[in-house]
Amino acid sequence: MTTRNKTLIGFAIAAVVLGLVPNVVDVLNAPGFYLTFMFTMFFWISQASSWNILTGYSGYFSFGQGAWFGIGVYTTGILAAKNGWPFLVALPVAGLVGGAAGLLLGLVVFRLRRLSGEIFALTTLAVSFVLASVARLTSLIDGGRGIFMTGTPLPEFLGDFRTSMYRMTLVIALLTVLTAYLIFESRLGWGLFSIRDDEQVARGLGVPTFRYKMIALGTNAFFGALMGGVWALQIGFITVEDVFNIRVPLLVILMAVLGGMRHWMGPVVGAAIIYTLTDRLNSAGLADLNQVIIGALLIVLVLGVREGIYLRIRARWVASAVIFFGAMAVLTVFDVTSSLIWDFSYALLITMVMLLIPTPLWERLTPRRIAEPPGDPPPELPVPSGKAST
Amino acid sequence: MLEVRDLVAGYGQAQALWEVDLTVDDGEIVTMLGPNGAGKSTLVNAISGLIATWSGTVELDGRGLTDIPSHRVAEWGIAVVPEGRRIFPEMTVVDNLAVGAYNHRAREASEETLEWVHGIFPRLEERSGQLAGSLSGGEQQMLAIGRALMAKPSLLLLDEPSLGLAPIMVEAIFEILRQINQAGVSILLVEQNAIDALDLATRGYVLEEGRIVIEGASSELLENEALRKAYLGL
Repeated sequence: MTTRNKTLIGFAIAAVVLGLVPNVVDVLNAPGFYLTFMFTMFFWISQASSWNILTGYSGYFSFGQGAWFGIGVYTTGILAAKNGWPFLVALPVAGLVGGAAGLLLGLVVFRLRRLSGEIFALTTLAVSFVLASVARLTSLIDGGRGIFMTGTPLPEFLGDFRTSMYRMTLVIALLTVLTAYLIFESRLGWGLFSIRDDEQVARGLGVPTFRYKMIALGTNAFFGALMGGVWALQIGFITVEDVFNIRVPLLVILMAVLGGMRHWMGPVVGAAIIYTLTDRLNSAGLADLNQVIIGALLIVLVLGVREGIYLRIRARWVASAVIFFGAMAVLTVFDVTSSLIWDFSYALLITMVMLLIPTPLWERLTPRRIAEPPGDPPPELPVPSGKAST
Repeated sequence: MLEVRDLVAGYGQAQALWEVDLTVDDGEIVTMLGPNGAGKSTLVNAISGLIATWSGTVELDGRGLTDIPSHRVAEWGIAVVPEGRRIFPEMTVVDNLAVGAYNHRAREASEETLEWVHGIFPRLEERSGQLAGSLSGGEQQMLAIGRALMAKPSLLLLDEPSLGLAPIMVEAIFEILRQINQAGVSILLVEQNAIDALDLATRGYVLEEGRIVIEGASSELLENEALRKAYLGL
């Protein structure tokens, strides 16, 4: 079986298992905040993964995630809450409006070669400021009064509010990560990576750079807005200040950088870790210290695990799995903490400490892994390796 | 096959090339010599469409290249080995080669081409899964050439491939260029390293301050007094 099929089967299993969680929670009569915890995580996973499709893959650094998120929030806000559209009709429209806005921005910035690097990053940030002002000043959108989402009816088959949120965010998160994976594995993917590494050369080799960057930005904006559209319900009362602020773009960047921008799984892992930690710190009453702790953690991890957590996990997946599930089991069986979520976050922390160890002890004890091709200068060329001076 | 006529080009307001005429015939190796700042890289960029030409024409097999987008030039049969190699450092060796075969024409044959390239550079096959940025300078140059060959070019355009390489590596690379040429690929070699370049090429041009000042067969150029003084230090 190919890796691709294995991964797709993995997706299917994850979809089924995660899809059944609400039923399990029901049967076990477990507290409902488990669902809230999980669907908030899905929200961040989707935001970070969609951001990474543009920035991680193509190298164009974006501060614009808040703009796509906000467009989604306000689109469902206006269509469903103000104009009474059925929510599930308004939702895809939110995604499409976001995607269209992304393409519009791309049409301008990718045509002007001067707008790359820092200028591109600042332009994307400016877009979200401009949108905030437009929303604040236009009474058709917000006009400074805010929008109440609380009364928006949801279709019954989705279940109660929490379960509906869970199911919608799960579907969107799965779609986002699946898209990120399919792009990663495709021609489009390595076309984007070549743009990230050297755009001019990529174009010279026949990579349609403009079109590819448009696709990446459009996809990013589409999923950012689609998830934003659902999130309007969770916000409840939408205001410009809550939506178009710097929180979403900054957290998304943190998550992807921490997890690893070079792989589709990186942002998923990063989002799970950062969200779990912020959530636990908040619930422990350390909300004030939250940013300090997360900031310190980020410094340690970025210095210690430069390639991102995910690639480190993959290199040591056996050890990671043993330590993570072992810690989970011990914590659960001995009932050390008050809830599964605490167990989860402690197990996560313990595993991360293990990942920080530069060369694991067990590898130093058993030096069998050094598998460089033996006999260093292979004789096939008339030259003794490329000991070239540059 | 390649015909450059009255080519004028530059960057912004700064003109770098004045009415350059140049031809490369089928199966030929031609070299373009010149000191730093003579406009060699501008010429490479103009032929490969990375910068717009101000006037004049560039034709490959009678088809004009001046007005097509740069990502199409590869499809028309010109592949560039850029100055300073410029491989994709964060991608694996085999992915670098795959990007080389990006154009429609090369894509279908990419598996056979890959075998051919691996035959020429066995080192690249050994290093397939390694990140390109971790290769040595000489290996990176092989990769840059291999990547260009993946595009199945009829004309290979090399911008100072000897730059920064040890003499023994330069010899090896030039020997490989001869091999590639024998496989039917025409070569335009832009170089400062006049002795090795003229040894490989059948004809040569000398570019100075954006103008072609000398042209002729390699043997003639090697005997040209002015050129010997300027480039060979004789």
